[in-house]
Amino acid sequence: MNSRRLPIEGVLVLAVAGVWAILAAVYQLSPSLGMPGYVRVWGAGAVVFLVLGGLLLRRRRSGD
Amino acid sequence: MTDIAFSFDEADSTAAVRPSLRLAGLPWIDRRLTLVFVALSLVPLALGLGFGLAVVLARGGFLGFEPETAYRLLTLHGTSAFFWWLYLAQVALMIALAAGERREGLAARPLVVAAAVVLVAGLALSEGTAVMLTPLLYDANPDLGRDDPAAVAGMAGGHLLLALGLALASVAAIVTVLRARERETGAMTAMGFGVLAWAGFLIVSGIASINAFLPNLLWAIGRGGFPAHAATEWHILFHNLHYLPLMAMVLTWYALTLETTGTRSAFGASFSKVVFASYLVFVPPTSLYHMFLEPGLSEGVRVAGTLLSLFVSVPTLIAFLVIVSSLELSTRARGAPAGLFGWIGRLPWRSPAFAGMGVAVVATLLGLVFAFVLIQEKFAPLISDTFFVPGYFHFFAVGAVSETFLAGFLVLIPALGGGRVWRPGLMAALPWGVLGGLLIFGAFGIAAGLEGVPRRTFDVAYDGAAPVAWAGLMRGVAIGGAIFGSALVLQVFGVVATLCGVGRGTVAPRRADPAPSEADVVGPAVAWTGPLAVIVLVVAMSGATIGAFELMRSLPIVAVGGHSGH
Repeated sequence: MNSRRLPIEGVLVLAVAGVWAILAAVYQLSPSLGMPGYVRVWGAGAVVFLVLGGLLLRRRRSGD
Repeated sequence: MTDIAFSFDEADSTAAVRPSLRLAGLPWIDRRLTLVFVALSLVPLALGLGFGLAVVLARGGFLGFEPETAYRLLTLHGTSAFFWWLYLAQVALMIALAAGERREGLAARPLVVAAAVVLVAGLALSEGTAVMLTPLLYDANPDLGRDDPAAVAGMAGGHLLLALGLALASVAAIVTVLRARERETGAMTAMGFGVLAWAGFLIVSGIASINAFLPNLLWAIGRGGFPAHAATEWHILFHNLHYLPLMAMVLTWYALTLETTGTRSAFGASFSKVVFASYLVFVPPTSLYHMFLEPGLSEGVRVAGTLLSLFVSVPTLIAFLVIVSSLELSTRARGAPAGLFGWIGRLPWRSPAFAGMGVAVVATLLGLVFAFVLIQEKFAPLISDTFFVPGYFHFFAVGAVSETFLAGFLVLIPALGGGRVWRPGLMAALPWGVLGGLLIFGAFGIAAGLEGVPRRTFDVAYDGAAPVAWAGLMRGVAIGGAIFGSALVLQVFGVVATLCGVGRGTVAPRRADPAPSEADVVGPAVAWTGPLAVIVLVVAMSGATIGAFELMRSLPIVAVGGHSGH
């Protein structure tokens, strides 16, 4: 395996985690939206995809 | 069960290998487990179809029910078809595609078995509650069950068990694809990545389900206050439930395209991974439009929601472009006749799986045209509680997603069980019957919605005070619904017959025709069909919006939406 190849799977999933985390923060920091459920779900989603991104990067390292 | 001799060593990564070939080489236990989920999913589909036919005939005035019975039928139809069929089918397809990525099959088999047990319990609880207690509709609205907490507990409990079962199966799928490696590069395949993203999304949707239904359950058992924000929490889950089946559908299209034509994405595996990830990127930002019916929503949020909703179909449209362009390039490279659309005739339309996928693609585009009318901020309050909603979303739920899942089953079952598809000629024709019925149902349903026919009121005569046209439009809805429902019943019968081995024979799985290399393709300029279809779609969306505005402005009455969401 070419170790210099971009770990695209991990990068994509971490980008997803980032988007979800930003949206959760926007809902948390904007009282006018008043939707705490969105913070819980998008925030939990960010954690799920963060874990998956970490697992993908670890898998990639173990394959090198 | 007929064993099919196949070694995973044959499935090298450089050739286009049909998914059925990989599935046929799975361990016996994985093939059995997947078939159990296929069979299990067909139970709520059959129930949902039966209840749906009763509902649509009643809406057309051909049958009469007491109001509570009518709502019970509506609850059973929605709960069976929208929740249990669509998600059990996803589990079957997800674990099959995950297992197909790994020569040893599923990596966390006990989790899949546990998921099956939990899901059977949840299905029984949901159906039993909807049959015996107060009908709360498929969103398990606690406001309707204030006087019957047991009904709220039963419906919430069923949905929570569904979430748990989906999470267990999803973890098993994730573990499986993480342990799978492409033979030559050791990388994760595009399908493996797609399954991982899909499974992750299912887990998050399980969290959204807990967020929506746990407060309902706690109130119903006396452990919490009344869930005052139930509608808002439902909208979050509901938004996920819009995307999940579409993501599953697109992944199934990828597999079916390879299976039936031997074609892989002309844009490469990495681009496919970007497309699959894009579903997850676009989910949270596009969720605001579900809140358009909330009276306290600020104007700024409404404008932002409208702008963001424009992105809602981006991932599906990109996947559509990739698949159609890849098929066009591949078919032309193999010597398709000249002309803009001549290549379409060379596609394997006699294959039941391909016919189902073809109908699903058409239905998706039709659904998108009218979905964009609904999610506009000025329109949502006017038509969200009218028959416009079921008129358009059956293009997605039935024509797009259900046809795709059934097409997937028609590949899965023979590959896993060793038989062959029951009456393939008829099974290839039935999707078109479904589409024909849907076109009638959708045309009359959308027109009825724009005329103001309410969404969930069975008797729309209003003692003669309703516009005369309403009854005629709803009869058209019933005729269309009866046509697509009957064709779907026959399809389900065919899938069951295939599952039961009617017409069983040994079918040797075979390697797909090799996809043409990039050098074989004359040039990218020949693949115009996909981009042209998207241009037509955008024009149709604009036309539908303008037409809907003009029609509603000309009406003597205005239907004002309530608070149910869509």
